Formats: sequence, structure tokens, C-alpha cells
Amino acid sequence: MNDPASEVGVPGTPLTATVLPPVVALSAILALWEGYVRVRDVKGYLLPPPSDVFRALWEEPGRYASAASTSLTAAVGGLAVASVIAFGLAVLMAHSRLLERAIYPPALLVKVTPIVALYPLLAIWFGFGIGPKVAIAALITFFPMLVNAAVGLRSVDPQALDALRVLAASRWEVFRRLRFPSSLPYVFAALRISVPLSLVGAVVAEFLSGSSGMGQLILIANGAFDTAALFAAVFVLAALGVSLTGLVGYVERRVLDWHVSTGA
Amino acid sequence: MTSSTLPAPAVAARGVTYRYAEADGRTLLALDGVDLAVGAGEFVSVVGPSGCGKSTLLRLVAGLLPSQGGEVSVLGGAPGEAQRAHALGLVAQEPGLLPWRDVAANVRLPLDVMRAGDPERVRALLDQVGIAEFAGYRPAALSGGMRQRVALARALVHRPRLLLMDEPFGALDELSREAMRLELLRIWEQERIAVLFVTHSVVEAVLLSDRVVVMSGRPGRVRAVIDVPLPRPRGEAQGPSAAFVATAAAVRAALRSDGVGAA
Repeated sequence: MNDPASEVGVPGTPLTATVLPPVVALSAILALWEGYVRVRDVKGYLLPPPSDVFRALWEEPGRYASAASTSLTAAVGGLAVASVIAFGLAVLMAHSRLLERAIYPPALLVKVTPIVALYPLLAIWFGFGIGPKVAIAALITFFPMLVNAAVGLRSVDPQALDALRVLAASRWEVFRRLRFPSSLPYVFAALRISVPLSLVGAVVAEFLSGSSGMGQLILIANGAFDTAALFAAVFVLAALGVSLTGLVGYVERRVLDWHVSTGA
Repeated sequence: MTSSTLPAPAVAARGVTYRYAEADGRTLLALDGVDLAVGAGEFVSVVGPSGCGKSTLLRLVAGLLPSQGGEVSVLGGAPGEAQRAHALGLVAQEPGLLPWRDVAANVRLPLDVMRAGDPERVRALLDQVGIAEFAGYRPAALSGGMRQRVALARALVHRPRLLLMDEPFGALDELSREAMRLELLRIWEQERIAVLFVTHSVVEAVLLSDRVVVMSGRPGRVRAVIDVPLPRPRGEAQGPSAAFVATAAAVRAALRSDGVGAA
């Protein structure tokens, strides 16, 4: 893991150029942090050295893994629900200016409302389990997907559209041959925005409910002045965010190998 | 059913008028009483200054704009019927290819929409327009001229009876344009379908066409219809011939008379 060069079998891939700089920078930050804490003898509850943080992770991997999986499920679940609904609405909006005018203001209302304020209501409706967490993650990620997908579905090459129209292509044909593929770069842009947001939504909901997941872990560590555990939880969340974003990027490069943004 | 054995003319338009609505509520008269006739298998060009409504005319024939005034008959019916009969092919100034499809799949698009597979035809057309070796390439890897060849093949793959071309070579460099003109002549000799060709190049119109319709601008009216008395098949040698020069001069004269004696 620490030696990316050994993982590389593809010649000519400048992995050293893409992976090495951030790895070096991160290692440098951790080393400086460790050195500062040890030299200045900073109190552990204020700023634990990275070695303590990693020890906290090392000693209870199961606890972090299970909390991470709980939060991840809620985040991805919310993202999935929001993406499906938002894309469906975007399809309606792309086909009718009237529906667009009808759908957009309520959607904007969802965006500008502080979602956190809805938590008590969501708890009444969905109980104290995963339900309200999924709902918060969904509400937070809904708007970027709606707007991006609606723009994407409309951003078709007019000449390509004409070529289909002179063949009397049906709306469905135009959708599947032109609109849907044209919207994908926008959909992936929305996903890249939404992935970190969905984690924020899930963790905030866990703060409020205090029932399970990374949010609860952080609350407990905070209450116990266990700053190392707190940092450990933050590291895990950062790793989750990086992995999910990386996964989206990987799928995007696979699906959108024709698109300029993937730099193929 | 009909007693006539003559095929319906490709385009028969009479008294066509078209107004665009402006943002400020006023209207812009783009076409004013335009007549146009394209016989079956005939190659007709429309030349005129920018904004003379020649593209509007082509889009009306293609059924891409709703008819407002006058009569537009395409292959004996309304433009929409010609669309549904898959009798139209369209090449615009920009190729409008699907970037996620390779060249062969782009050419195949009309057949996909019609749910008609004809790999033989796709291969033959790729050959005909000289892009067979690029069949597996994505459009992004091709030059502008190559992309326009793909667009031409796509417009022909479903064997339309009327090919509509809206300044198809306008965005190309001079060398590609020359090559494409000759290529189009060669393909037209083989396919022998009716072509309505919009351009602002007099040389292009005369080289390619059986007849040249000269339009004047704002509002668009037909100023002259000039027959091109050059023998077919035509090719590179046409350039310097006396008949060519005389016809081009006649077209230019008709274009220049713009604004003078408009009755």
C-alpha cells in the first residue's frame, strides 16, 4: 500500500507522478504533526500525535468498521434514493417547460431549507433507525442531481437532434440514443458533488439521533475527552469520502471514456 | 393507385412564407412567397447572402420547422410524412455525430432508429465516403473533413429519396471542401437521389447542381433560377470550362442585382 510502484504493472502509466506527490505531502504533514506534538509536549486531549490516532484505530478496528458501514449504508442509500427521484423529475423537466416551472420552485425550497431543521420531523415519520439518516442524506443530495441532470438532458447537440428528428424518431428513441448519454457527464459531476454531501447528511443525522454510526462514535469520543478516538473517527470518515469519490471517478472514466473531461 | 407513372417531385414548394417571432414581440419575415421545385433525382442548390432564409427553407422542407404559409410538398406529401417514411437524409454545417459511438455506429444510427440492421450497407457506405479504415474510431479522433464524411454516410445509409444539405462544407478548410465536393459528385452519380443543397458558394452550387436557385435577402425571395448546362458526370475538369464560367457569372449577376429593381 505504501509502495505504489510495486502495484503497477502497466508500463508508461505515470502513477509515480499522480500518487507519489499526495502520499509524500500527507506523510510530511503527519511527520511534522508527530514531531510538533512530541517536541512541544502538547496535551493528548488537545492534539494527540498521529501515532495515538492510529493506535486507537488499531486497537478497535471492528468498532470503527461497523460504525463506518452503518454511516456508509445511510449515505449511499440516501444518495441512491435522491438520485433516482431527481433524475426521474429531471426527465420530466427536460420534456416540458411547464413541468420544469412547476417542479423547480419546490425543489429550490428543499435546497434553501436547512435540512438539519427537518430532523425532528423526519424522526417522527421514519423512527430512530436508518430511516431519518437516509432521508437527510437524500434531501441534501437531491438538488445537485436534479439541476445537473435537467441541464444535461437538455444539453444535446442540436445537429444530432435534427438528424434524429428527420427520421421521425420518437421521444423515447431521442431519449435513449441522445439525451440520456448526453446527460451522463452532468450526472457524474452531480455525483462527485453529492458523495461527500451524503456523508455529511448521514453523520449529521447521527449527531442528532446519537443512536449509531460514525456520528455516534464521535459523540462518545467527545464526551470521554478521547481526542485520539475522535481523530480516528475523522480519519475514517475522510477515508470513506476519498474512497467513494474515487469509486465514482473510476466508474466515470469507464462510462465516459468518450468525454473530454476524462482526458482520454 | 394513381394513374401517373411519373415519380412525385422531391420538393414542390409554392408561395412559402415564414416569420420568426423576435424577443421583443415583433416578427421577422424570413421567407416571402418562395417557390422551389426539385425533381426526382435532381440536384438543386439554393444560394444567397447570409440571412436570406435559405436555411429556413431547407428546415421547412425537412419538417424541422412548422409550415406557416404557402404549400410545402415533399415526395408528394407533407414533410412529416416524408420523415415517417424515412425518406429524408440531412447533413448540416456541423456533423452532429454522437461522440460515444464509433464511426460505424454513427453511420448506423438511422438504421438503429428504424430497427433495421444492414451491416452490408453500412460497410458499403463507409467505403464509398472513404472512411472504412476509421470505422472503429470515435469522432473526436477525426479531422473536420472526416467527420463530415461520417455525417454524409449517416444521411445516406437508410437510402433516403431526398438528401438535404445545409452548408455542409461551410465549416471545412478550403482543401477539405474541394475534396468533399468531388466526393459528393461521385456519390451522387451512384445514388442518384434528389438533393437540396444550401450554400453561399457560387462555385460550389454551379459545380454540383442541375439548377441553381438564387435568393435575395430580408425578406428571402427567389431572384432567379438558373439551369447549369454542364454535362454529367462532372469532376475536377469542370473548373475552367467556358460553360462553367458563364453559368457562375450568371449566378453572380443574379446575386448582385440584389436591391435593384425589386418589384
